[in-house]
Amino acid sequence: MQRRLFLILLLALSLGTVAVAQSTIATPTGQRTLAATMNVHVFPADGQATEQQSRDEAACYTWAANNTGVDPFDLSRRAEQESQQADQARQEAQRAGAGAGAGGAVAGAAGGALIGQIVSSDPGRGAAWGAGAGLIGGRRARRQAQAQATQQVERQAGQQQQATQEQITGFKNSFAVCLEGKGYMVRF
Amino acid sequence: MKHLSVAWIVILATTFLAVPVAADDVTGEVEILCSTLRVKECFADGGCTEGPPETWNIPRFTQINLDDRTLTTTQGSGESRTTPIEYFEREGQQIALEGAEDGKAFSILLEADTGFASIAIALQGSVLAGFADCTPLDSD
Repeated sequence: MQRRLFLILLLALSLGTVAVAQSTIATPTGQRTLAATMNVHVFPADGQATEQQSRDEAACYTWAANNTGVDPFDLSRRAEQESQQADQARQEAQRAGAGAGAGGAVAGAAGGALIGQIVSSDPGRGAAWGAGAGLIGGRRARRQAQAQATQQVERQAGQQQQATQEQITGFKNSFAVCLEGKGYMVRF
Repeated sequence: MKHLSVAWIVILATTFLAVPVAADDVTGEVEILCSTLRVKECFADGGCTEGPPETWNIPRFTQINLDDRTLTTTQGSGESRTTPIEYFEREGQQIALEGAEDGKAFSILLEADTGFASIAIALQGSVLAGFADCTPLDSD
């Protein structure tokens, strides 16, 4: 009888231990934590539960956002908009100077007065060369305009990207300090 | 052999006859009349064509006024065409005239003592070359 009672007690204890273990060690749920979505790796060094970690991360997110004035999710939306705007600007840059070739070609066929009214004996032959030269000049001008516009767009996009990255890094630093204060090990 | 000699004589005679008659001395003249008989146009691709000035709408007779610095058509031509001379330089017996109009550029070198003019006109994709004999316009 005593032996049976001991076995029951042992079983109860072992089940209780498992239950405690399940409640203290974070079980993988398949869902990413708030920190993980920002590529911030958080380990519950003091054995905090998953629910506790989620609460702490949310609190630290709010604290860091207030502390830095940066909300990474807003930033990410803004960065996406800026990226779309940069793409549009690149397309516009590609179209820049598109009329230059035609203008150059048209400018090649005027006339007037004594010398001005002199015409080639084979206008098609001369005009073809003239139009070709106009187009070549136009193409060159267009390429230069495109290169300049594209460079400007890339420079602006690069500056915006760098500014956004600096803001995100500032936020992550603040977020990490907060979580470390709550007993987590943080890397990003 | 005899036929060959005759042929040579004919060729030589024709060649000499084709040489334009010497123009007049236009030294010190202000108004000069120039006559162009043949023009040659050469294209960028290397080909050339030759013909009378009408082929290119070039007047047979052109008046040069060194005071007004103009090239004009004659009254008798029925046309009223004028082109300003933008650059004028006299160096000894050589008179250089240059200008540009409606995308065409011209350059004329007139030898005052002989009245012989060499003319170059640049069009788009081709160049015209011509020669003219000139004489004082107000000479009696």
